[in-house]
Amino acid sequence: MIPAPFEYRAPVSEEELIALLAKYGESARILAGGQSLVPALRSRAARPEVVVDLRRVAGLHAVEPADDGGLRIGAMATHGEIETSPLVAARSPLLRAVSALVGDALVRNAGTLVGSVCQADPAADEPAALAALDATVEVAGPGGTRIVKAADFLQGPFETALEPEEYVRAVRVPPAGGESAYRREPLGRLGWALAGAACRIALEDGRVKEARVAVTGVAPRVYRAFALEEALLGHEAVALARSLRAGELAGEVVRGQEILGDARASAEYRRHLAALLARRAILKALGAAGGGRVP
Amino acid sequence: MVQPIDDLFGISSPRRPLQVAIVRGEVARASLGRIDAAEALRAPGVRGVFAYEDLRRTCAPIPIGVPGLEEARFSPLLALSDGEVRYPGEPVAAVVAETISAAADAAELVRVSCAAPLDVATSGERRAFSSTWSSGDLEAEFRKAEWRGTFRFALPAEVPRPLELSSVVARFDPGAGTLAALSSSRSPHALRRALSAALGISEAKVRVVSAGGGGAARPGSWAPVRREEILVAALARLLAPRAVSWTESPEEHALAAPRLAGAAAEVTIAARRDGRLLALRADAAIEAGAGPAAPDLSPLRGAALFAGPYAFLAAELRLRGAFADSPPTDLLAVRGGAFFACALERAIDEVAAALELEPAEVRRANLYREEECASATGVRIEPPRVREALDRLLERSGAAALRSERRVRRERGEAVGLGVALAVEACARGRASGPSPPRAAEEWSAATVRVLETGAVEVATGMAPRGPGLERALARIAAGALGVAESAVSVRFGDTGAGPPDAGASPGRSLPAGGSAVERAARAAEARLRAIAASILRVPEEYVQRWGGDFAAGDRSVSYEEVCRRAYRGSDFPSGPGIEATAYYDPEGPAVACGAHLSLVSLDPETGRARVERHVAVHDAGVLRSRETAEADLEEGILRGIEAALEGAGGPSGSEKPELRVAFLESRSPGNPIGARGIGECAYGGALAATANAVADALRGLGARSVDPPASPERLWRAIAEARP
Repeated sequence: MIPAPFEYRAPVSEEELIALLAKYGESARILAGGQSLVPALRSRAARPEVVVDLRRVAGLHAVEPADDGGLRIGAMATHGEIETSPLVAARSPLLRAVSALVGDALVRNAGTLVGSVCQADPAADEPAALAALDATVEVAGPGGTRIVKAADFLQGPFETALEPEEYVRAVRVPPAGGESAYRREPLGRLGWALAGAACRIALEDGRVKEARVAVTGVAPRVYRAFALEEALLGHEAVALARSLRAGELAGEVVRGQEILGDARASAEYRRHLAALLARRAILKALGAAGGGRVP
Repeated sequence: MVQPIDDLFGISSPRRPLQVAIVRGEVARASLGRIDAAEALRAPGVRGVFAYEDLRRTCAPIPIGVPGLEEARFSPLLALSDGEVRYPGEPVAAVVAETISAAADAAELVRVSCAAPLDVATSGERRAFSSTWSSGDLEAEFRKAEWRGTFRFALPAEVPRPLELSSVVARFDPGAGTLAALSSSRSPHALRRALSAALGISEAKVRVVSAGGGGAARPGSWAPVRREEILVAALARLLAPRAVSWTESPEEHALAAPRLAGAAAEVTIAARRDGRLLALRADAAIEAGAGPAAPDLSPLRGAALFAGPYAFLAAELRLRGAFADSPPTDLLAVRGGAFFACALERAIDEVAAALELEPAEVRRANLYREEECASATGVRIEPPRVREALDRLLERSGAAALRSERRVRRERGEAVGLGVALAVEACARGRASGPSPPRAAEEWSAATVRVLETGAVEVATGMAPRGPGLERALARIAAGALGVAESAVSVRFGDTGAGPPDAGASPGRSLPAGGSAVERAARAAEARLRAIAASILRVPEEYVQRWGGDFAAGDRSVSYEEVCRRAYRGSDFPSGPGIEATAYYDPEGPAVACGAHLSLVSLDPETGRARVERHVAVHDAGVLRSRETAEADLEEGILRGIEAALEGAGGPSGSEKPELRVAFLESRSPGNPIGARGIGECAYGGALAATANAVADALRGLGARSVDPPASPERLWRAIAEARP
């Protein structure tokens, strides 16, 4: 269909962007790659008075190395740029692999990682990977810049910690400690994850020293499975792999979470998939971290 | 000469067509109350808001009859709802404005009040129609059979997902009293007839041009007539001389576009213990939605081969249709006959499993023999071709090796399944046969071939454009018959102002029927060229031969170009000036396409995800005009079939695309002069059935019950979980 009327603004600097957002507040929507906003405009599900396009704002496009050995990914960097960046491949193979799973080539060439984070779709792939990687979100606004953990930034279905006059300048991915993996069950041809689990495991002397597990697709938001992370700590890798295979700890994956059931999949199936995919991702990461010792 | 279509609509003029936004009802079976358009009428750019009452004098209901059905009571085709909203999305009002945005903005201001559902209390089946067909003594065969089994199978209704959606623009010229419409319909002559009947304008004063679109395998509009097209034409009449236009939005398509009907069947088969099939009864319930989307659609047409290529001694088909609170359906064939084919092919696998026989062998042993003349439904389908397709399939796919691969992998704990299916499809059906109903509308094709003074060739066909493949094939057929280069031929599609009446494009008939008409018209034109050449060469016609492009007799010859020039500039024509011929082609019998499919499927028992690892198909698609186009058509049909088998709305993603291997037999179809047969639709049914059989085989290997298509991961996971204690 045709969008309801709106005003279009394309600021060229962050100062101008901040001024526009301060002026229009909640009646404005920010346009980056447009892969979520444009369909919402066309179906009139979104009816902002003003659309503020980031395209011409200087300094938001970079995928660059961070001083701490990690990455800084600008608001306008596309999934495709991340997927093909040698820098990302070297510093965060998980993020590279997960970016390649988004939509199809057309979507990846237009859509942005930051756009996906701001959309906070509860079934998106990249936010899960970012949460497992301890990534942070660089939120800018009239009061300056604040840094929010990715897992805290995602607050509910299509809800974030962003205030109306704020925008996300970049996502920061710290240097990856340990090994990481992502497993998903896709929904249909170009679908989001019906369920997906990202994990990162660091071993010390053969025992789990650090564990991160983030789950997407099954709850109203992408979440960190803290109960499971805690339960993994300190375990000897080989024994842990064995007990995971035996189905232990499965309940920890969804502990305390409201699991969704709808026409696409029942809550029971989603709960099953979350536990299964988390197990598969952990086993994969354990195997890599254990350097061939973990079966 | 035909007027350029752009001028008819003033698309390029400063006053562009008026745009229509349709207000749709939200609840099913509700009585329509007041429509308050006051606010919408005050909105900028709005030229009018119309409800059923406003159109009543302009636009009459078109009765929908479906030949061959009993107790059929269908609501007529109406531009807008006349008081009842039968399904969510039914059009109730139209807003006309200068731009699409103005129309869409104003449509949101129209207030429609709907009373509570008319008869919520009425549950249970609302019978739409029924029909029965049988041959042989079914009861006797069932009585004396050593074995009988009943099997249930269902396919849900499907919303086609085209690449391009429906669109129409229409303009009424009050001076001339003519109506012109450019539409995405693929049956321009059927649409012209409907517009003429609805608006009371002489059919000769209505011109419809089919703009095609949507691609061959995923048509934007399979329905020959859409109620929105009648609405737009009626508005064009009221708002003349302005042109009026409507384009379907993706949301409207998902909500209210005509669907492909869903159906459920109970198939009972009687057999001997050695696998000889004796009798078949198919009891099918069709979900008709709000009824047929257009006149002349009959579910019986897809049932013409419900007994497949097998030599049942008795067969019976019982059909009943029920209304549902959903958009109108095609009814036409219940997915082009794929439903009946798939139900039967699944049942045969269950028979083979119950009798512990090899499924491919059961099929081969039961193909009817040539001397039996015809299949159980009386349609001749050339069993040797089916047998050859099956044998070539088993050989090409290495079926024996695949069976041992399956055993080895199962021993390793993997969940794998093999499925075979045969597919037969009666394309370009022509006259009635078996359960096919008597013909209601034209099912023939027609074409006009005109050779111009310069030797250039114009072909006009009533077929709608379906992509460059068909255009090239038709040009090649005309060029071959006329003895000219393909580049000399240009093909004009789907213009009622240019070509003779034709049933239009529908699956499996473009080439067999449309191509045959072009071939006959081109041969008739060539005969005229030959007559003129004979008069130039002063010899009897039978002495004229073709040498390259030239016409020759003995050592004298005259070039093709000279013959064409003389046809227009000469003075002594043997039979009048000009070279033009129109031919109607009425298929003598169906051009039966057949194919054999094999699918290797693996399951992840933990997630329930099924994946087609390999799919092999051997098809007899008749004489091929372009191998490349035929392969693309076949592969597209197979991928659509796999999608329908495994995930319905989803399907194989790019990375999961199975390994496809296809081959053609290329036998000449005796059903038509160019020996063509259909491809894609037959492949769809075959791939759907083979994949469903492979999934069932994999589940059987796990001790789990079978699952109807689409076998979504969750349904497979549940079936597998149930089987595990």
